Amino acid sequence: MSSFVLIASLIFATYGVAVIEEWVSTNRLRLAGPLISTLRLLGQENILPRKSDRLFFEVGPVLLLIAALLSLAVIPLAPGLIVTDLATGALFFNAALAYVLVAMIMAGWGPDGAYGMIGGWRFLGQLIAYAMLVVMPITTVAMRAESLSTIDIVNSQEMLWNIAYQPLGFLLFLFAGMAMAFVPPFDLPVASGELAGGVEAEYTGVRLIIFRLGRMVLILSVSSAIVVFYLGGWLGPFGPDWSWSMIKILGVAALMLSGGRMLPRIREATLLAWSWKLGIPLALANIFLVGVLVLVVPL
Amino acid sequence: MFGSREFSKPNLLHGLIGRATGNDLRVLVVPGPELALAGGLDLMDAGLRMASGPRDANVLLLLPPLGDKMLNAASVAFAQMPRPRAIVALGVKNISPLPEADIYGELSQAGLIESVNSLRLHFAQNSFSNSVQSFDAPALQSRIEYTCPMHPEVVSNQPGSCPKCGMDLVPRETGTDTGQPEEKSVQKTQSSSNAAHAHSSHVKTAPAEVDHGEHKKADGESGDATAKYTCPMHPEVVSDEPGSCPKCGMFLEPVKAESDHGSHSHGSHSHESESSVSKLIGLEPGFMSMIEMTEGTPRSSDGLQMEWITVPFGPFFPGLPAGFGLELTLDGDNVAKATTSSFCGFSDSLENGPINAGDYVENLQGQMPLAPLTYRLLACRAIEAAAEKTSENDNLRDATLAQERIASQLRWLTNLGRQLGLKGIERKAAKLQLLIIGADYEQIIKLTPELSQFIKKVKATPFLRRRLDAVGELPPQSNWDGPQSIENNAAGRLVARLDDISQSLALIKKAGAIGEIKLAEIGNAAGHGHASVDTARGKANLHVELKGGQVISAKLDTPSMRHTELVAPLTDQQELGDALVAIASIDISPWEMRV
Repeated sequence: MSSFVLIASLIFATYGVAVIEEWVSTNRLRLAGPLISTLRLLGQENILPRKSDRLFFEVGPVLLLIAALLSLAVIPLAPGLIVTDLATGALFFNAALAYVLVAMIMAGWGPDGAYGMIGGWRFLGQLIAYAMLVVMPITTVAMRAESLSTIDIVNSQEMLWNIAYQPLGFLLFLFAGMAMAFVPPFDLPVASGELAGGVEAEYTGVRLIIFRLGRMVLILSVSSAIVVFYLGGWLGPFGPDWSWSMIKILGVAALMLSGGRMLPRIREATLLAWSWKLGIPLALANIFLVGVLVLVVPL
Repeated sequence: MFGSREFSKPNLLHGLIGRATGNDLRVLVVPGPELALAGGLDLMDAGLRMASGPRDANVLLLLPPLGDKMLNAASVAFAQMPRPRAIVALGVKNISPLPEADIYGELSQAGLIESVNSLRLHFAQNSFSNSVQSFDAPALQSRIEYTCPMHPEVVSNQPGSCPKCGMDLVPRETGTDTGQPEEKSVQKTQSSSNAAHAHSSHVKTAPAEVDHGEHKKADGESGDATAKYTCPMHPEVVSDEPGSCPKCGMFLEPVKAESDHGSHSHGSHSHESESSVSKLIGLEPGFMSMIEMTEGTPRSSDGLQMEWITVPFGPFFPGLPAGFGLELTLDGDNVAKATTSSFCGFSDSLENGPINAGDYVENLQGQMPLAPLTYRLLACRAIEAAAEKTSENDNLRDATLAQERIASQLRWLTNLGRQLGLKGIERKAAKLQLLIIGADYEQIIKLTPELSQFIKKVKATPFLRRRLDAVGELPPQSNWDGPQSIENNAAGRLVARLDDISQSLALIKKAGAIGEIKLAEIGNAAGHGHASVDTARGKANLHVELKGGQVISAKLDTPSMRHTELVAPLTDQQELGDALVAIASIDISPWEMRV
């Protein structure tokens, strides 16, 4: 039963993210939008560019989807409603999403086109910027919960959500998460105005469906992680636990997708400079602050 | 059907997909979205979404004016669009070398909406068909020749077997047979990033070939008499022919003889060949060596040798002016070289002899679809100057010019929004542009508060100034006469353009009306005349010579012609994204460049 609920909520939430994504990019709410787009792409010719690296071209999008799905395995929707409650859940989440980089470079390299390739390598630069800022805030979340298990992390926020307990960590993780899911303004690898679609540029038909699906699941996964780590997961005043998880996850996804549209796409150099000169010192300060808080005010 | 997907027996699902395709239209506009805006077409309102490239598009929307160069580029883009796809032609009839359009319509918003409705029906019925025709863009056609995998010197026009070893000959492309030596390395890939965005003859080094780093030497070199082959693990094994090592079975790798060193220097740079480096550090030649990968490649400004790729951007690139051809040589993601071209330029030579002054005005106006009234005014002024006539309604004419300047700056803002991913600015600027063009005096005055509010909003966009601050610094004493800014960067030019909108509004208000631009009666006047007009992009100058009321010669100097020269210094050693923003910041119109 619980696996059925998990799969149903995965499909529902992914569809929800896709609806929000289309809404913020076209300013029109079309509930059937993602379904129509999927049907269109299903009927579209699957073009294999000449001289493509067939293996990389085919595997890239699939790997993106798998990595995003794997990371969702440690996200609890409610107590007991989780694919696997690993003792190292928070670490696993990070490890699974490391493959997003591999997927992006493969998908960029595979079709043998300049835009895709530059997009793929740009994402490598992006990883250098965000990677530390994903791990370091997770450290402080785990410090408070005294565990890496995602269930324990949610339970540790029963008195006070982490967004209030460690707001600095939340902000850093939010930005790093957005960069990881390459949503605007961090959409350097798939920028339309700079790379005509970048990594996505050569994909059509079913392969593009998989790529876009992978991206939606990735956005879902990052917003779920934000909810679990900082917004108290399933904790809510009334009603079923899973509904709170769902509402918060879609809310965070909407916030990420719409907020980013108001900012110009960041420059690669600026992203790296801010991450390392500002982000990492702040993340270290956050570790110190939370360390003190955990000792002095153990809520 | 050139646009349908082949399916012998389309079923219910195909019908559903066809309907979905009709409801999810991604359009690639030829010449570009600016032309749609300038023509008063609201694509979003008609239910079309802009595609980021040919692969993303299922509709090719053709708008006038279309020259041969543009149609050729469009045919390449169409060849790369995945089926099911369709062509919609508004206000144009002859679109060869493209196949017949699926829908023809008139050039108006009503015509667009009607065409989109027919298009929906078209996709619902014809997305899948059992009689499908293939379309090959003439510009993409390449000559196939056959060669032996073991004996590269064996080349034949027909498939067959090698006279030396009997192996089957394999096909390879040689590009269109233009007779130009550099065309030998042209690779016509179907990848949209390479060919779709540029006429194939512009692709000298296909990125595709270089980025995959197969690191093969050019064909000519592989048959080089001085080439020897050696095993990467056993340097003592040397052979005159490629093959495998008798000791370990590995493929033998080509080695250049010492006497060849000189031929590898590139311009002022030179580098040491593999073998001399190996001797220096005492390594086996070729073992774990990266030298071969970068052999023969030029050096970056930081001294590192990297593979350079030449990437075409345009003429339909989303972040650049439509019809503008840009070819960037990238060293990593830094621009090492930039060359520009126009797919739609003007011609000011009067090929068919002297023409009537009135016709000349119409002609020049028609050649500049992005600033028709501006150039109409320029032509009128120059001709009137030559005839020594003065116009009485100069104020009203300036107001018309100001109206077109506002529209032009708003189109530029739309493009900026598209380039930087600022959807809000892109949409709002496009909407305001549509309201401004064709508006009368009262309507413009009514729009003033909305425009002012929009200008404030753009100025207050978080991080926008910061994003543009570091980009687009013009070299000192450069020939820039576009909107004058205090800061010499893209941010400064953004502010200058926004201020230009405010000033133009004030000018219209002061004039109190908007006037028509009509050529004064010049009779059989003769003489020389010169005039200049402040366009949205800078100063445009025109010199005409009249004889008997006819224009016998004309010389046009446009701001874009001068500003094109700034592209190279603006982009030199800039990161790709910054380079594109910098180019967009000087707002070049390819229509203002010479053919």
